[in-house]
Amino acid sequence: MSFFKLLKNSLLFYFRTQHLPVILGTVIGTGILIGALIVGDSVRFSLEKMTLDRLGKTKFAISSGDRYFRVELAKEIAKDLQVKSASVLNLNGIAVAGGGQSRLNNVQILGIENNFWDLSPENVPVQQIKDNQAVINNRLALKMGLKVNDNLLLRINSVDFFPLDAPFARDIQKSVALRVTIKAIIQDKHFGRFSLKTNQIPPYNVFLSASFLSETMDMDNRANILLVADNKDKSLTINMLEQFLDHSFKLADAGLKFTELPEFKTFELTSDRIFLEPAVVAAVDETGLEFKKILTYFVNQFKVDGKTTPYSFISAPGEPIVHKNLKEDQIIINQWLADDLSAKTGDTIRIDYYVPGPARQLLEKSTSLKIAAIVPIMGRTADKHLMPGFPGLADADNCRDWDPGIPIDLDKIRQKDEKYWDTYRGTPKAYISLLTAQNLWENRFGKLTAIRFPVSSINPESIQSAILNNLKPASVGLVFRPVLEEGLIATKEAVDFGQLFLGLSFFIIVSALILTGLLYILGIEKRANETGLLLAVGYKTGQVKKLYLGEIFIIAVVGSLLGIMFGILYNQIVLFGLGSLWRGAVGTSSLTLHIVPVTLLIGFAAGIFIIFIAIGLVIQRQSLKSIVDLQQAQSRYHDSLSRKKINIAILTTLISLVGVFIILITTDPGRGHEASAVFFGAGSLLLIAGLCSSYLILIRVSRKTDVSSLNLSGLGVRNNSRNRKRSLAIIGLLACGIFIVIGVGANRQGSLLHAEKRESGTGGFAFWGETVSPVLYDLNSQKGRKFFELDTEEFENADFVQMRRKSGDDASCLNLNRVRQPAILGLDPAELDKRGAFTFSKTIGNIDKSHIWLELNKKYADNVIPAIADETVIIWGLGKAVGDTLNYINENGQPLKLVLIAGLVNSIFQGHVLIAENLFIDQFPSAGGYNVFLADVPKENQQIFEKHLTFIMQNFGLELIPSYVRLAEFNKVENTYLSIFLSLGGLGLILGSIGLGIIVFRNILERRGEMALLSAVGFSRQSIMRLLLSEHIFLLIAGLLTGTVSALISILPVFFTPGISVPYFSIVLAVLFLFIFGFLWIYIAARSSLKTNLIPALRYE
Amino acid sequence: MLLKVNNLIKYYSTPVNPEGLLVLNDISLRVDAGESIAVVGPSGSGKSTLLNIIGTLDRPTSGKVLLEEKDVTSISSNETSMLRNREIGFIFQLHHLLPQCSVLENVLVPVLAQQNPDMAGATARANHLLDKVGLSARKEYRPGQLSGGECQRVAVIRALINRPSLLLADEPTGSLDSQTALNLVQLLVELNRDEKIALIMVTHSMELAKKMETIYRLQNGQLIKE
Repeated sequence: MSFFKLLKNSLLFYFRTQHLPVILGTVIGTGILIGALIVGDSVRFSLEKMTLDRLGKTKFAISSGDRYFRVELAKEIAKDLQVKSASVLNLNGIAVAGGGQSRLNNVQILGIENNFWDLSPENVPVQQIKDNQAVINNRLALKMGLKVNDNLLLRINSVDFFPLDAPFARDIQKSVALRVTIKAIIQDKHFGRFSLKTNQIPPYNVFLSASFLSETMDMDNRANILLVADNKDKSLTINMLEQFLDHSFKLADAGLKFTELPEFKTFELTSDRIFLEPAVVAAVDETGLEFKKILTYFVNQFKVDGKTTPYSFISAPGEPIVHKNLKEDQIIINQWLADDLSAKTGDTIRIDYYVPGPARQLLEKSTSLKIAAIVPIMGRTADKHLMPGFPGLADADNCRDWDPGIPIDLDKIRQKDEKYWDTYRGTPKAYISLLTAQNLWENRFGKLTAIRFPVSSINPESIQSAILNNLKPASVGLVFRPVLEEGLIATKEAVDFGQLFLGLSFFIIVSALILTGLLYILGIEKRANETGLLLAVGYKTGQVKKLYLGEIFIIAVVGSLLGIMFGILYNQIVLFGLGSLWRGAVGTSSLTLHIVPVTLLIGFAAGIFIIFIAIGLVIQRQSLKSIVDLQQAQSRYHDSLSRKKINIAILTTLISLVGVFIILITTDPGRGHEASAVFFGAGSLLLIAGLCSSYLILIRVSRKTDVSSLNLSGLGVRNNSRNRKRSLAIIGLLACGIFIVIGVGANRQGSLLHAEKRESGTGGFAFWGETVSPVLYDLNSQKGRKFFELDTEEFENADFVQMRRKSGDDASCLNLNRVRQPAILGLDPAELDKRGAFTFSKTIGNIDKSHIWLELNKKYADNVIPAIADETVIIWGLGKAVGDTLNYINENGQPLKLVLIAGLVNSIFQGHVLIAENLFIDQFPSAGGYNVFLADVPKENQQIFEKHLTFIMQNFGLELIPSYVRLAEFNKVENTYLSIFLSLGGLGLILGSIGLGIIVFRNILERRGEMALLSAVGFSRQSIMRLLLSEHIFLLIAGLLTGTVSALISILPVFFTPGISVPYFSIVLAVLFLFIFGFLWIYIAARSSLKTNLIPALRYE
Repeated sequence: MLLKVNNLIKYYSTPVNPEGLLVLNDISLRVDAGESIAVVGPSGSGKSTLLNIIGTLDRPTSGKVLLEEKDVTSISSNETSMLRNREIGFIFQLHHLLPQCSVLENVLVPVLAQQNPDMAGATARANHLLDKVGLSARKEYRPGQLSGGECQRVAVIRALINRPSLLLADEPTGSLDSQTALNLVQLLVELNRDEKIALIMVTHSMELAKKMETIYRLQNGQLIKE
């Protein structure tokens, strides 16, 4: 005989009656704990897999947006660094199928070469994509119901290298329609998910042949994405790539052209963007070479006295045409102009011209200069090349075909003007000094249209090299990013679903532990005399505890081991739920099981630990009993009826009820968020009042001596007063359980509540609109309204706040990944300030809190500007706080810091960071037009407005949704989590009801002698059954009623909030299930304990 | 003098009597080594309470219990456990055998409580004692396979395994029929004589009490020698 033999005997003997139920409880508790942790691992793994699927073998990438470089760069890098590389032309477009029946905006159109597939996660079973063919991804195919060989129409905005907001840029972007046939539909593992944006939701992808797309779009074999895989040694670094770029970078990659003009013995540097960027000019300045800077502009008219010459070019070409002595207020005109205006030297000539104002307004200005000289049109003064390549001007055959971004009055164009154009094209008719020209026409895109280098001993290659030596690729948007590393970090720092599900499953875990503890109590109290005996024969308390704890350890190990298997099953159920019923929380169904051994070990250890704690407490309590009580297996429990306790109970009930009453009459449940917290408090007070009342009822019942009212059910109820603490514990457990589950799980966020109010999350705006193609017009202007047919009576009160967008990651709660560079919106803060739109939750200290929006206009330092974001985005999406800084790179390759000065309360801006439009333009001058807008529309016109705008802007790829719907989409995530809590909490309640059954069983077991006596004096089994049922159902009903009514009060605001889907069904189901299961356990416990012969119980006192 | 009980007083508080119900009123008792004593009295007179206090299962309100001149009412719990293990043997009305252990194992349970138990020696003694009471053929049996009398005999052997100087029997025949009860008491008397263990037996049966050398009556909280 040894300690271990005794332990083993006890384990085996009590396995079925005591240990097996405890093992089951342990399996559930630890299984759910482990399962929740595995959910975290699985989600993290799935996000990582999605990142690897979307990037394939790509380790680094350039994504230059609307800056385009040569496709050959990929081949050059592959050769130079011995890596796999691919160029991609990435454009946004609209897909249309089924003859227009099916339409999809925001489609990612990718022009690729075969080397693209080399970077795919797995070998792609697709051969060369021919012209007019397309490969699409699964998501697109499913969304549009497409299959192989179906036809697809793609509408893509034509690409102008010329910035959209630059002077003379056209108002409307033309679009190109492409008809393609679907060659193949590819899965995620075949690069179907390709994207450089961090998001678990894949884009809609269409892959086309690069050459076909480039030719169709007139892109001259350019690309704006460069993908690079790691080298064989896995040692490729950003430094190596930057060094490569430094020596392989060509002027064409910066959109620059270097042309020889032999007739003028000169080389000319020009840009696709027309105006030479400051970085390019600075690079040329640093070469130390000889060059001339040129600025040429298009003016509306020249005027001398009453005579005018319309629509002409004027240039500042420098010497020899414009000698350095030419004053700022002087001008040289050519003979043709002098003749046309009958002008002579000394006359004053007025020049009228347009400059771009805010929101693409054209501001007409004029200046007057004195004619210093008149020159013949010959030689350098007949230089057609001075005319910049303004789209719509330079490519026109005649004047009447002109289509620049300014209004042209064709009536003003005369025959002689057409003849001039035919002979001289855009040869400038006048010349001024560079300083004068720049003062008049310098803009944010540049202040030169060309730089010329004289042909000299230096060969053109040397000139180009000299420029390239000083021109950093980053300054023209060519920056390598470690996209793989960034993507994996984003997944590592993503929402921790392990912790989340531990929290959501908390109730069910606690219920399982309570159940396990109860089961153990039942067993250990049956062995009370054994405990007493051991102590009586000289065992120390510690030795007895050691014996029981030894048993528990083995049970916990076995239970936890089995719990691992249960946990894996639970995890599968949760993942299935997340991919279907609860998809609103994650936005994807591509979650896969992933088991990390360390997690299992942690869960296993945690399971053992918490079981030890739970049962250790029971053993500790047991050890406090006297040996005599243990021997007699009874509890010398006396619940004394103290007057003090009764008074406290009465006072607590009254105070709580008064509190509830005050809240009900003073608080409007329709006040939304504020009301939620207050009513939760009311519910809690009612719960307390209910429990105290239950206690008082039990006391009242115990004092009843009126025998005339004594009946079976009444006796049953009175029996509850024998052990008031235990009865109250049952009522309390049930009440608290149902209160928490309904009170938390049914508390939904609403979006319709006061949606029209300015301070709400919609800002009071009726619609949120996003377009694929930027809208260049000001929708509030006459021109804009006319163009979009909004100049009718029904739309006269429609008002817009338009926003520019810099593409980035989605930082809303719909993206599970942690993002670093969310999309940026540039807006006019005054528009929101004057409306008092939205509400701020937090701001930094030192700003004017009455005009927080206007703070966005302040510039803190060069490239340090203020920003505002949704508080949810700041905390959860970015992992930051108000006052923190976000780091970006601006269009010129310089670091840009956005300081978060304020956080918005739950708003439709989720996913974006907001800055002032004027500062946005400084940093991203090429991001022309407006891709996002908010619309104020009177309620009565909203329906027609929505229909009209959706139709008229369909080619812009407009997605127009009511603001409250957008807000509801964000709320859906939180509401889904609450639904999960409600579901899992409900399961926890059912487990808890098993605990009720166990307590009932124990109650009856303790009173077997009493039951035997009733049987001996003639009570039938049915009568005793009725007695037991009435006794315990009283507790069940009291608990349910108290908990449910309190919970309903606590969620009252939900019923008064429009737009919230109240989970009536779940609430009713939870209460019903709890009642049914509670009744079931009571019935089973009562029946099974009455099954055996009761009379022997009479033999033992 | 093996046992001295000096001026023992014991109150129990109840809801009806918050000041406490006086159960033992200034009780004194002397027991010599090897002496056998019966304590009789009506139900609820405090007989078991007295035995529990002597056996350190309960504490007096006031008074002392000296076992071999050691005041057992004021020692530490560890010392109390050792005392119960080595010096006192308890026999209860219900045998309280561990159903998961065999007869032999049940007898050896008290030995396991010791720091360095001599299991071999204890096993030999257990076998001897079981043989003495006619249960050696049953030593591998579980309690569920024995009769009530047999179980109670095993409980007696268990109480003796560590050679205590004092044996306390609280209604040991309470759940037995009269013949079996008589046999059991006879066994106790023999063991008292053979093992030279002092025996205090609580009983409500005068017939069984007469088997002891001395009879005390507990009435109204007072212990009176008969």
